[in-house]
Amino acid sequence: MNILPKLSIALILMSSLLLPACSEQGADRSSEVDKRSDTDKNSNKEPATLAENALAQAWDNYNASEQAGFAWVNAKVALNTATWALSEGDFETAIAEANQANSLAESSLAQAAAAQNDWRKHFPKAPAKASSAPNVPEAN
Amino acid sequence: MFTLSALSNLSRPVSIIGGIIVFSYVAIISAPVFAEPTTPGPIVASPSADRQAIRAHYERRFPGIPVEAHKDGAYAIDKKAGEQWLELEDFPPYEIAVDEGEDLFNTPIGDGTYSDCFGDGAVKGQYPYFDEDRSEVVTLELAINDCRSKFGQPTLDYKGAEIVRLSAYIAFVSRDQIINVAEPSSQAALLAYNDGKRFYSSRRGQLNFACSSCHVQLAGNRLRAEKLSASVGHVTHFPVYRLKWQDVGSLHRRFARCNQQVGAEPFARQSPEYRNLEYFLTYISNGLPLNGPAIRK
Ligand code: HEC
Repeated sequence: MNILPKLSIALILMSSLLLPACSEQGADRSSEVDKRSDTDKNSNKEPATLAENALAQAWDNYNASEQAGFAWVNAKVALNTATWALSEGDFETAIAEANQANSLAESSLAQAAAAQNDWRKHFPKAPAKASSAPNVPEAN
Repeated sequence: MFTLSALSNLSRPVSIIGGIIVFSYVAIISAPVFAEPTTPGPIVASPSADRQAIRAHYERRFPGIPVEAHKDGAYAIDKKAGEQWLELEDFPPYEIAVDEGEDLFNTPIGDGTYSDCFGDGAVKGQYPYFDEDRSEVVTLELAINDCRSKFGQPTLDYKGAEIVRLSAYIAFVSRDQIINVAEPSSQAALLAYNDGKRFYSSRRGQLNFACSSCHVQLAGNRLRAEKLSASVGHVTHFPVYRLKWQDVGSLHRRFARCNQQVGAEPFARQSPEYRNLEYFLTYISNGLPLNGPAIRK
């Protein structure tokens, strides 16, 4: 009995199953390579530089939120803790606190953006009869 | 210009019951953020329509309580606390500040006196106002420092004891004057007014509350041990002797406290932001009598 045709069908079937898996693995591997090169990039940097960069980024966003008039107290607290940790040489804490400050500052900026239109919703509307009251001047 | 791509979690007030604040987190999706944070935007309602709207809101919310009664803050709506408060008035702790303020008022400042600027001192009803020449809101505290500058004296620290004592005395001798802020009419005055209104209505801090969240939407509810007061009447009685402060404090100190309690960075006393807010709040309190200084928890 010639089993070759059966084997070749089985092979074709197996390879058709394996190919996509391989190609996914390939994709995975390439992203791993990307990630590794990122980590390599980071690990080449001094932890102090990483902490300084994280802090600078957080300050930028915090200053923008203050400029907009929507700064949050806890963002400032995290910034102060990060600054202190950096001066103590505790880079891990400095980075964690700076990232925390940055994400709070981003939220406060989103709040400032939302307030641009939403503030009007938070003031009571004139009841219908008030708008026809004689002493209400024309809205400017 | 800023663009935000991150999702940001902002909490929203849902209810304040028995001092428990519940937040639901809502995602605010990336937005093309403000080009100019202070762009005033169209003026949606005239100041007098605002005043009528907010008065009508409190009339509906507190049936049977005349709007004028809110000059006594939370005590207008919390009978029990109001009784204890009236007892405190028998020996008012702000009296010392008023006496010290009177002495300061009568002490010469350089070549002049405060009387040269403020007569007998009963002038609180004239502030704040929008000064068209300066194009800014002038509060009583600003005017006190202007008076000192006029006579070559250094200005007083807005956080210091001296200015709050002077204003306690002026508030005391101005009692019963009726608040009557002129209708903002020029474009500049309307912008200042609208800036105050916008500040009042903008959510701030990590708790994501606007002034109006507590003092309009939730007015009358309890927050911890206190009932939330109405904003019409917020400006009538400052400076206030707060038991918590063990001293008299200014309206702007109270603004700062209310900002901080929702996790927002406060603004400086007499900053343009707080002066515009005071201008707006005083305008909507038109018609109420001045009754400062007062006692608060
Ligand atoms: C989280 C709720 C909350 C928010 C938001 C809030 N306040 Fe208050 N505020 C209070 C509480 C509580 C008190 C003390 C009880 C009372 O008088 O309402 C108070 C008191 C005050 C008083 C003193 C009232 C008096 O009778 O002396 C003023 C003025 C005031 N708030 C203004 C503001 C302004 C302006 C804002 C916005 C910048 C604001 N508040 C935001 C909770 C809040």
